[in-house]
Amino acid sequence: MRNGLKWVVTAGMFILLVVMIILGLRWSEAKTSTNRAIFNSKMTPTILIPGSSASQNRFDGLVKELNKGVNKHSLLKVTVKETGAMTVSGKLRARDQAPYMVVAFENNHDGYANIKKQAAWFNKAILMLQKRYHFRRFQAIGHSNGGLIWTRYLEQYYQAEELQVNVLMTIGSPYNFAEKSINNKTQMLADFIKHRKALPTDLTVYSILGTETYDDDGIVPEESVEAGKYIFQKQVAHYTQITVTGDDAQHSDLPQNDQIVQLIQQNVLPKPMGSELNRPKS
Amino acid sequence: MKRYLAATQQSMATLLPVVLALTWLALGQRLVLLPDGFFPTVLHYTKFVGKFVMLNGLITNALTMGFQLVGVLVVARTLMTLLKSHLKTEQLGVLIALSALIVWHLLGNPQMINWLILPVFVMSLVWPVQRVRPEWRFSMGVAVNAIYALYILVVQRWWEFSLTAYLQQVVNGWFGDGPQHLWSSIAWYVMAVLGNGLGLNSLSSVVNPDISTTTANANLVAMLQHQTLPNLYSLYPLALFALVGSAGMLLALFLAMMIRRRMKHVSITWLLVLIPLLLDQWWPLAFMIPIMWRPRLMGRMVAVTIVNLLLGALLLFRHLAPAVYWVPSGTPNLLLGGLASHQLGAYAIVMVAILLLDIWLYWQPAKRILEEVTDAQWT
Repeated sequence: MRNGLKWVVTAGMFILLVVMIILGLRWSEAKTSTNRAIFNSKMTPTILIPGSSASQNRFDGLVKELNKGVNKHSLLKVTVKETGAMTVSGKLRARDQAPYMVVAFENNHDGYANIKKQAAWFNKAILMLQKRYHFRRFQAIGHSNGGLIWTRYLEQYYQAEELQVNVLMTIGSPYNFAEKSINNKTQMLADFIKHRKALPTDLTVYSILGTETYDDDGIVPEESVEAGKYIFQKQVAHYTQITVTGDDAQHSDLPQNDQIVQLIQQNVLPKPMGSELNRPKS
Repeated sequence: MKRYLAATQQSMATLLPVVLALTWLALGQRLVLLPDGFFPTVLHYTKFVGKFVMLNGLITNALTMGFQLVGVLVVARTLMTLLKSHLKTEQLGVLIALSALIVWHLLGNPQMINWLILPVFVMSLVWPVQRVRPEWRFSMGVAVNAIYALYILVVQRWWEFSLTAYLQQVVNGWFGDGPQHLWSSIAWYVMAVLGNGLGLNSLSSVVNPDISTTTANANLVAMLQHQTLPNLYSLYPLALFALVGSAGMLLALFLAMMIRRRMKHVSITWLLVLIPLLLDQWWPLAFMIPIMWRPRLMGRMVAVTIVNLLLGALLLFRHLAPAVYWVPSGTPNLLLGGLASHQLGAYAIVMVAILLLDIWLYWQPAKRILEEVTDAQWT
């Protein structure tokens, strides 16, 4: 009886190992094959997340501005529903290696609880986009709460072995919501600071601050945008804060501000192939 | 010290059934129930198991408390053995109850349990108790416990400082992006062997091959982009030469013992210990057979590891395709080479050869250990 049991256990052990070999190898080969295409892809899209209350059309004006001249790129728009379902509109032109991809949310309300949900939805959206369009490197832009969603995503969901973000530009992002004093840290800022070590160390971050008056952009206090330094400084490779004043420096106008459009062209968008500045990181 | 280590090991052996039950539960969870476990990943049912958050939380708590309880019981039983002739029954009962409470708080979560705490605690309590006059023994025992209680209260609770977590942080700080050269990889694997041998558990980043470390990831990216591998001799491609059954090639040590005993003398307990070991869970082995805190055995483990790594490096340099690709989490190191290189046949041959060599290297230590341990412990 005991001998029989021993043989049953031994046989079970071999079966388990054989099953693990077969399933493990199949999984590993499939994952490698998908990722080979992704890792060899030359596409580096610019992914944009709008702020609260904004739809997938929020960046139409900005993309129109960026598409002036010879460097025209496709625009894809994704809206993530509360159920996690996604609708994609727009078309990717053949051989377009630097398309714009806007990810918006059906639930686009303000508040930390929603930002957490939106970051989780965004994670699903970017994985879907990666699977469909086979890219690994990308640039990131977030307007207002869009910058907060990026920060939450990079701290909680971003997998450096599968994706590589080179540049993040946040425009008027209120890292401490409406608080004017850094001594009154909101729960969100405290969490961002707590998890800052998860941010990629090779990332370049630009935080754009708009000032309509001397202390805010009409909505977001200067100090709240400046609080970003407590999250990114001494963690990412480069952190630069830029102040934009003058016309179109009001919070909602920032994405169309000429100076910001220029900053995006200079610092965020990939340079055309063959350019000296287009040195992809390995 | 030897006396305390031996007494602790004997107590550990009596708790093997509990450790086996906990290890099998942990294995089941890791393979089948966790959303990033082996089978949910390869069979694509991660969403389905994601619904069992409560169940997974319950199992994790059960494992945490289970292993803490094991630590407490080991200490209680050891104290009972060592102090029964030195204290009155009621005094011994009180002292054991106090010590149990202290040890419960000293041990952290199962990922960070340092088994070295057990003999150190036993020695720090028994040694002074046995050296004072009989009427002071109980008070001395209480005083030692009071010092530990003060440590827990001030350091662990007030300062919120955990020595184990601190050690882990320090090691992770040294580890950084992971070693890039053969000599540094060897040094890390030797440290992992010494960690296991001492019952320290602070080298999880070394004993769990991780493709997300910078060096492993750089290899993966280079391989996918058809470039030269930048870190051929880093931990991930070398893991299968050092970690089968955990650091020190413990599977080979156990197989050497099994062969020495011949299969017909091997009870079902041996098989129940072997299966977790195939999946790199070595705690049942450490509870069944006294492999911790033995300097000579640790020396042999270091030698086996270095020989394997040098051989492995030679094979990687000359013939073998390196293991660089993704494998599902929970993949045993025994299968890591074949799965992560997509060269199953070549790695199967290499693995068998390496295990045979290691069994030969462990042949004498296996004999010595088997001679020391009575059969009664294993049936």
